[in-house]
Amino acid sequence: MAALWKKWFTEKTLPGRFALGGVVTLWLVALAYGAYQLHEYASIPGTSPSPLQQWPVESRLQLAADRPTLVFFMHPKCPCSRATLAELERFLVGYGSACQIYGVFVRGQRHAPSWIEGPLWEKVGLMENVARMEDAGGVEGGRFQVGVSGECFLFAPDGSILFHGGITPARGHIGDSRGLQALMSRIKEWHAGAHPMERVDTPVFGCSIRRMCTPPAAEGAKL
Amino acid sequence: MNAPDNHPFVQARRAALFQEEMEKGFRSTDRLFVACLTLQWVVGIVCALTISPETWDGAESRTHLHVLAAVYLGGVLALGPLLLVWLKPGKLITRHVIAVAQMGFGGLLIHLTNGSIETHFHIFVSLALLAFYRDSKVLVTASVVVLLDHTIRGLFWAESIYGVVKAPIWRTLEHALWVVLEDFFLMVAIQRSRRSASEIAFKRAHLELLNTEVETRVILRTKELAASEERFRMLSAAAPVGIFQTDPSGNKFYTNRQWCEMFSMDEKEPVGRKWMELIHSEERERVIRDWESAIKGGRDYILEMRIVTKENVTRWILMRGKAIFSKSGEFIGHVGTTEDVTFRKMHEQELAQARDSALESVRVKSEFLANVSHEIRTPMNAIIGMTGLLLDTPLNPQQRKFASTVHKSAETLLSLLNDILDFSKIEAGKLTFEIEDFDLQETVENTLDLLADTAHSKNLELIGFLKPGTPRYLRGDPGRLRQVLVNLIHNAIKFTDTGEVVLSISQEGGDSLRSIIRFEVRDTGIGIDKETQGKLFQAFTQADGSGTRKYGGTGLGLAISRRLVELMNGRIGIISSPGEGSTFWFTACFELTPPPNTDEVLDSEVLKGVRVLTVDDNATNAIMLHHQLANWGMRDDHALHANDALRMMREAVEQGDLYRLAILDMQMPDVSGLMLATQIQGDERLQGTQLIMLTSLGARLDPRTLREAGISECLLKPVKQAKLLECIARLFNAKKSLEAAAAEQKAKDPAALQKEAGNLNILVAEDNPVNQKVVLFHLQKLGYVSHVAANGMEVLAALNHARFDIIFMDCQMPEMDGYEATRHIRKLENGKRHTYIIALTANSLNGDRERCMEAGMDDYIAKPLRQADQVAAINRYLEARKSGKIGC
Repeated sequence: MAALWKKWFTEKTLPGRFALGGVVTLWLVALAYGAYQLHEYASIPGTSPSPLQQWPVESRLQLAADRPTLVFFMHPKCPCSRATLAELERFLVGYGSACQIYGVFVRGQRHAPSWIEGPLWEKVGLMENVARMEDAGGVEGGRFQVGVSGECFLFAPDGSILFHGGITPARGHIGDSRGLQALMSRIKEWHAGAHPMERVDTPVFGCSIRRMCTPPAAEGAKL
Repeated sequence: MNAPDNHPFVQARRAALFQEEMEKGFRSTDRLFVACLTLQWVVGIVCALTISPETWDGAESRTHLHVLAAVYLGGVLALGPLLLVWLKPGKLITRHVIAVAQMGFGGLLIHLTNGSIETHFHIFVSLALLAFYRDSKVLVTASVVVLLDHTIRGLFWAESIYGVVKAPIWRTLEHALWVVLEDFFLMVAIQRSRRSASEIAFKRAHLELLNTEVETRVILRTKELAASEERFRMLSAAAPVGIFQTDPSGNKFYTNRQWCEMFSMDEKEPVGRKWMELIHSEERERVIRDWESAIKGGRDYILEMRIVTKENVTRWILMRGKAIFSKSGEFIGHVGTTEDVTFRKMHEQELAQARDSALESVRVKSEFLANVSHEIRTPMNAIIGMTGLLLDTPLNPQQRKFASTVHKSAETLLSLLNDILDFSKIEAGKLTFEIEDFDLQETVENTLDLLADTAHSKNLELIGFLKPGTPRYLRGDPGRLRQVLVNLIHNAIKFTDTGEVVLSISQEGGDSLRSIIRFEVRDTGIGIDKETQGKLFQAFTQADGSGTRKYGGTGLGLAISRRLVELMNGRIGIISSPGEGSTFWFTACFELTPPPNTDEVLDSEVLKGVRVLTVDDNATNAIMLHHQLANWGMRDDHALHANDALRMMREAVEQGDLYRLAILDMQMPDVSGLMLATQIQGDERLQGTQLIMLTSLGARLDPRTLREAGISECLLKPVKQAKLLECIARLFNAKKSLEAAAAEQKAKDPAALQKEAGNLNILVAEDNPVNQKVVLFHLQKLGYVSHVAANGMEVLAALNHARFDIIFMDCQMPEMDGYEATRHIRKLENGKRHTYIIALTANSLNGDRERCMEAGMDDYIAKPLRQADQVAAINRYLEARKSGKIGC
């Protein structure tokens, strides 16, 4: 059978040539399709419609009084968040001390405490100026109304939100992105004395953590 | 063998080989990329599974898209080329698709590494790998893919390719520049590689062409060799002789079938020297010795041997070996043939037996002939001797006629006997030639002398002369020459009634060592018709059957002459027409010898310029005289008649240039020579002319008549050249010549010799009483006192009582023959004295003379005895004694 196919394709006849051309064309189309899907996957941000405008007072996190406070939420297993941490490392080089930083790992209620342990957990733990925190049951995530791993919140000391979004250019991709630029820009602007400032939103690329977070309505009952 | 570079085959083959090499490279690079693409696909999947195996939605996870992308995209990238490699390996579309796929992997890798600059090196590595195709177009395709990818993603998704939000166009240009730069160097490398491959292809094509030519030649040579070998095999198989070949050591390594059959050996048996075991034991040592000698010396050899085969069959084998040498001259063995000559050998043996029988027959025949000859000659001796003696006694005319008839008949019978013996000797191949220096002129003149009487008795002119330029001093057998001449001249005289018989001799050819002399005997006889001429030289044939009765003879003379001429390396023939006479001619080859040293008395210089008139009605004689006289430098004129002669002589006187010599022929019509001489004598003006008369009747001319006619000399015809010269010289230098002649005459006169020698004491040893009487009478006539002995014993007894000067010794006597007696005598003399012994024998066969000399005899006379022979023998004794060659 294979030999017949081979003979048919390799014969220098018109049908053979058309068949070969068709195969090559199909191949190119398949390639384009794959590339397109990959591009789509990487470039479509997660859903993070956080309406938060002020620092949630219920949060057990401490809002810094002398500088902005950056809070980012991570899914402990999200492979795309490695890009966020990589970008954060770049951020820390210039802005590590310009703000208070919390790295919050959300753990679902069904998961054991050790579930959050992994490369991301360990890497954040090694970062200077970053306070690593476990958000068991997604309480804090709920308070901040987080939707996607890698979602960052920048608050002014007065509790007003300055920035909300991701700091990677695409899903799982490092590199310059509008989110990181906007984050650094807002911090520089705050320190430059620009008060009050408008909230800036950028797309967040990462795994969804919404369903691991506890909605604020259920928080009291839970607590 | 050096093919030109632009040879069509080389060009075509070069292109084919180059294409083949390229396609080989394409296929191998295809396979390389099959591995490479597969590896990248697998590595991609592994990396995806390792780095991002799952994607999460809260606490729920599912397979990460990267894993799916690795599987799908990597699969599409890898499987497309793999499919083409399978379907169309080495084809253009395949390598271009591979280029696209490989670059796709690079783009994917860059994308997945967020545009990491390190992963951009994948592009360069991929281009380098694609350069393995040695097809610049593949690099172009790959580079186009790369540039498109960089350009598009740089413009629309810079993070994917450069890891930045927005990339300036120069970055894409920079990347493109590096790619183009690498392409440039890779293309240069590709071009060099292709050129190198092309050159290799060219060399291979060239080599293939040479190989093809060589193979063609090899095939051709192989065919020729096969044909040659087949031809050799057929020849060898069909040859009627055995063929063999040996190495330099003599070991056989090839023999054909006939050889094996001849030696009764299997085909493998002859290898080495096993054949020697078959050589007959009586000959083995000789054959092996000769054979080994030839082998060691590298020489050709011919061996004849007997062999005894396994079947105990004896064969005669003739083996011929030829030494063969390499081009460098090295001896490399022998090739040869063997021939079964058993049949021939048997024939040879039969022939040898037959030959022995024949030889024995011949010997018996010769013995018989000798005996017959002896038995016939003995009574013949008596008849001739006695009739000779009888004729010397006073007889009445009738008695003389009877006695003369008996004498002539006996002479004829003896001549017949001699012919028969000669013919018998010739037929038996026993005729031998004595080789000695001789004077041709003297031999010819002596021959003519012998026959002169016979010719003159028939009133025939007998003329003989050597043409100018004919060599005179030769080496050969003058006796045999004389025999042929006598035969031909005698025949000519016999068959000629009137006219002349002329013998002319000339040189027909030759060189510095040899001369071919032509003898012609012309007569004016009856002539011979053509039919008879053809049979003339056959034995027992005569010109005319009826002539046999008229002219007599055995018919052997010409046959004997022909054989003798052939033995003298000559030819014999006849030119004749009936009624017009005949010319018998023959040639004979003789060695040339220098003239003997003689004290020449005659000075021919004196004769130069002397004017001579010859008067002869015979033109041949006149021509002969002209040649002789001109040869001596004399000026000669010729007159046919006496009247002409007188007129010419008188005219010469008037001119003041008189003839100082006139040679006259005696027998002329109308006016004879004598009458002419008388007329000359009577003319005072002609007194200054000397006269010589030539005559056949000279002996009968009265000296007084000659003197009265004023004739100074008279010569017998045929005129001997030497005598004529001597005569002329004497006339012009008379005193000296006469003294010399007198001295010579004295030396040659037997009576004078006898007088000088005194009385000789002679012993005749002869058993036959009749012969005793003949010899004694002859000696008595010569004035000698003789004694007789009947056998050898009596001779020895006589010697005890007396001393003899000469012994005439018969060879065949009872009790003690002549040979034995001679040996005894010589033994008794012991060199202190020497009795002159003259053999008398009736055996005229070969070897008799040698046998006599070997026994110690001094001279030899064949029976029947003639008085002249005895006188000649006694004279030889006297001359020898005078010269001191023998003692008294």
